[in-house]
Amino acid sequence: MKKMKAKGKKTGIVTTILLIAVTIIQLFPLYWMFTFSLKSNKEIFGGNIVGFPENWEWDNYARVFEKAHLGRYLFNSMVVTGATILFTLVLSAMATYAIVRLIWKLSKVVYFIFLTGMMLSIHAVLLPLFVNMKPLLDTYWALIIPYVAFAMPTAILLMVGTLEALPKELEEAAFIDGANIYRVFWQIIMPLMKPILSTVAILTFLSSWNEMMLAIAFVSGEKYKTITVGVNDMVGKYSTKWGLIGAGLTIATIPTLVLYVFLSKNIQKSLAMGAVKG
Amino acid sequence: MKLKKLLGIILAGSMVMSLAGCGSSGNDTGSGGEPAQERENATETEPAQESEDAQEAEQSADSGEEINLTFWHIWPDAEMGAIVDNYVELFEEEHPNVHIESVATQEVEYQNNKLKVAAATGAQGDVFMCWGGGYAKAYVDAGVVLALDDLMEKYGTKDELLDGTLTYGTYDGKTYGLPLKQWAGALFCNTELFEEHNVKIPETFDELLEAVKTFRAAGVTPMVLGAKDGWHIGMIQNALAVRTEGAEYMNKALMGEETLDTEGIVKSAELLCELNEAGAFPDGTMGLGSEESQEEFYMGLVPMYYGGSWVSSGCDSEENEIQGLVKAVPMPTVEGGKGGVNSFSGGAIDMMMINVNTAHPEEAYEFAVGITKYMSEEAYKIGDSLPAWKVDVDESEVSPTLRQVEELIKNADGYVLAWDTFLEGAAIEAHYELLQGLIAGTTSPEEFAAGMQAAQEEVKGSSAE
Amino acid sequence: MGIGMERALKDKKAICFFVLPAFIWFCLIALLPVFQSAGYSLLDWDGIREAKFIGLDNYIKMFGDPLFFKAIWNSVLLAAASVFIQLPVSMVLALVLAGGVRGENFYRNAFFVPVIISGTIIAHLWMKIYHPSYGLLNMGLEALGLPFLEREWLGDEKTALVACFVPMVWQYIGYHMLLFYSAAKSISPEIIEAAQVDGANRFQTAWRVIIPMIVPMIKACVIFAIIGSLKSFDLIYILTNGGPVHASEVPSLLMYKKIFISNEYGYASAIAIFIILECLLFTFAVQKIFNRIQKD
Repeated sequence: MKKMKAKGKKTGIVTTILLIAVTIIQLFPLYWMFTFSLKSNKEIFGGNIVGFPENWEWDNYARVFEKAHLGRYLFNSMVVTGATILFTLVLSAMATYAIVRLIWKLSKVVYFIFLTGMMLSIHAVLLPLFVNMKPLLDTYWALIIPYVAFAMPTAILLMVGTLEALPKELEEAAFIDGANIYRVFWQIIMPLMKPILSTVAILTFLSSWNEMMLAIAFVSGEKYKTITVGVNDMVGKYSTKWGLIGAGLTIATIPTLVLYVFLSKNIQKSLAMGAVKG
Repeated sequence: MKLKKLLGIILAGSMVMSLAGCGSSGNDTGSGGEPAQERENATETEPAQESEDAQEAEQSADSGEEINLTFWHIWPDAEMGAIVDNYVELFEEEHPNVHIESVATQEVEYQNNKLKVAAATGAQGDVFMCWGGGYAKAYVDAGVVLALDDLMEKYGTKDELLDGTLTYGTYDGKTYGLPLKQWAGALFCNTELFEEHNVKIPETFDELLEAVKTFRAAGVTPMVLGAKDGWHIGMIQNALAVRTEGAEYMNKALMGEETLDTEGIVKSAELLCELNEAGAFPDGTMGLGSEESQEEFYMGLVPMYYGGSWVSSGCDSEENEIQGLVKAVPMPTVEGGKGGVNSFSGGAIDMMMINVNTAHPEEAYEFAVGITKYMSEEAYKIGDSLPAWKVDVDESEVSPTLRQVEELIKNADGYVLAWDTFLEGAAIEAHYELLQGLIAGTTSPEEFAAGMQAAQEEVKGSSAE
Repeated sequence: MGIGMERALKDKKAICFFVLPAFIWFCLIALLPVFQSAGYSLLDWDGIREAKFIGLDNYIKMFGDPLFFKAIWNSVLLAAASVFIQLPVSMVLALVLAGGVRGENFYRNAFFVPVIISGTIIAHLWMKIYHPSYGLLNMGLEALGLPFLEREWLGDEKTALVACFVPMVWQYIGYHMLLFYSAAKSISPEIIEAAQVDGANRFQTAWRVIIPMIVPMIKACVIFAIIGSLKSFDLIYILTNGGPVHASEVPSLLMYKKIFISNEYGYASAIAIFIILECLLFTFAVQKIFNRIQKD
């Protein structure tokens, strides 16, 4: 035993160096984005690429807020993303329950059809989707409905893997106690799937928060513009003012980071439970 | 637990959303008093629904009723955006029953995605920014753009426009677009760097080549070029073609009346390659975008930039480092070329057009004329472009660098648009690819000219069917 | 299973209640447009003017286009890089973390950070890393006294593709790491302890005990990685737009340009349909290969 411990410690040093190196690589973009958001072009072109800013140009942030209605855009993004997550979670969980637990002939076929959705790309369906969605354009629904449709395949894949691994005893007991199927779903299955629901929530959050093609084509005007589109407007126009871009990118990234930290505990738990069984 | 909190947030979010969705008033429930938003909210009285439906309903109502128009444009940025907002406000004051909703989309996304997708079903704004020449041709053919001839007649609009500015908004003899501005190409030179390295500002191509070599030898990148953007290479090659082949021929050739595989066009590509081989362009230009590349000119690090008159606004901007240092000269002349120093790249290609489905063509037209005129003037002042309308602007208000460009074109005897605005669809992509091939050294000048001709024939052939 | 429960689970009304909302939603919004696209792929159409039915001509044109094959080849290379570089790196990190180190949670969260940053942002950052004159990479090489290694990373046909692959492979290392990690964590500690008591070192434990037990997760990750690579778009679109001279062209980007730049809507639809079929094909192939591995 003693020998093994010593060995473990030795690996520990090498491992620690490796882990710290990887951490630096993974976190570097965040550091860099933040520091160059506080620099002027003069400073960057003058050679200060990675160092701390010499003059902290907080003004860059003020200008970004002044140039775009970022508050409004953030609100829109939250509404769209929030609703997308809600519908995706509920609908996918219901479908998952039907696919995994309920007994019917076509369940495998329906599961397979859902999975093909992972292979679709949004560019390919943009025009037909626009035509089909025409009555709903320029509402939040114009974004929520397609986002949910495109988020469901991954959600269902992840949830099916989880539910298959969950033991059936609790459900059986509930049925024996005379609960009907809807109550079993809401009161037994949903709570059991909580961890995977948060994993799906963050993945859905990432994909809809960052989506741009539909967000540009399907809604018009400031009223419904999302933060990702708003930042892109700015990046497109000022693609050379590093400081302004950095500020815009940082502002767009903060909500994602906050939400990740907020959800990470649940995600860890869901992953620890073995979310995906291939 | 955490999840409950999350669900709480989500529920709250979706409730607000459904409130906003169900509420019959367009006054936003949740914008939370942003100053920029207030004006918009205050004037908004119509429900947030699809404009077309609203308009159909209005058409049957009496005149003098509320009229809603949507205006699609490409200026989400503060500077140009403010100009648009100012005019919208002016217009709404003059027409109290008309409400204009502006929809701003970033230019590239607008051109590739937003407008294309919407126009496929005629769902673009009542008044929308568009490009004449090859870009709008499909829309005109598909019948989603309103012909303006009758309205122009009625309002006597033609008298207010400068000559030749309607050319590229006219298809089969009918006018569809009101020109917003004109541009002209020039070689912008940073005099400080020229003096520092003791170089003469070039008047002929040989002098240009000489200047390039001198700067390169001194370790200075001589010219701006972001070759990742095909159009940026096109600016230079197109201008050289005006020199080698002449403006008159180029216009015919680009319209398909003459061919593009001539000796002069091969020559223009050869000259571009000569510049490239002499080291005129930045290291790694194939991986640089136009904006990235031009920034070094604005920072005072690169002495030459051949570009449209819009370069002026950057030259005079306080944010950049070269105020007062820039001299604008014509593209240097080419010995034995058919085009003289008074032929230019340029023209009027940016247009305002009107949706054929609009319920209020008169008001839309009035607004379109007003905004083009207004923007023509304002864009002129900030150095973005030359006016397309007969405007009366105090010269002291105009960007000094743009004034130089204006001086250059006083005796202009011919203009040729950038090829990519002339050409259509697949020919545009072919143009970019061939240009990039020239810079990368994988396409020869002969292949370039032949390739352009082939692409032109294919597009013209298929649209003639 | 009780009879009452079985009856409940076979209740047609319940089945409809649970599956139909999602299924109808998905079919109408996501699947229907695919069939419409399949229809468009038989047309000579620019997306707005009159369309003409041309049968399979678009597909014939596609299979005769060397550029199309180049794009496919590039995406297959990317898939290979993902499977043989990204996944092994993720696996090593996952196993190291799952083996228990101090600060396990911190590292795991830190490694995941690039996943949560949007592709657009990642692309803009890397563009600035690769900038030929002011980029971090060339500046770094110069500082290290290695100026001869400096390249025009995105502007050189020889390096552009690799320069695009690096951030793409890098960004999702944390994603797969997390999935592998979670799978490894779900193995009961007794099994691992038993192996160590038998004298296996950490490497042997990982190779002989952990990896065989997480084969289902490996399969899922391989499928994710391959589909993701074959559909890749965002990063390349911003970094090189497929250039220089198509050196970094991929099918999704080609499709995008055909739709939005050259207005060849019918042709672009054919490419879209091909990408879907290609993804299905690879998914089946991966399933088959893993079925065989799992049997052995």
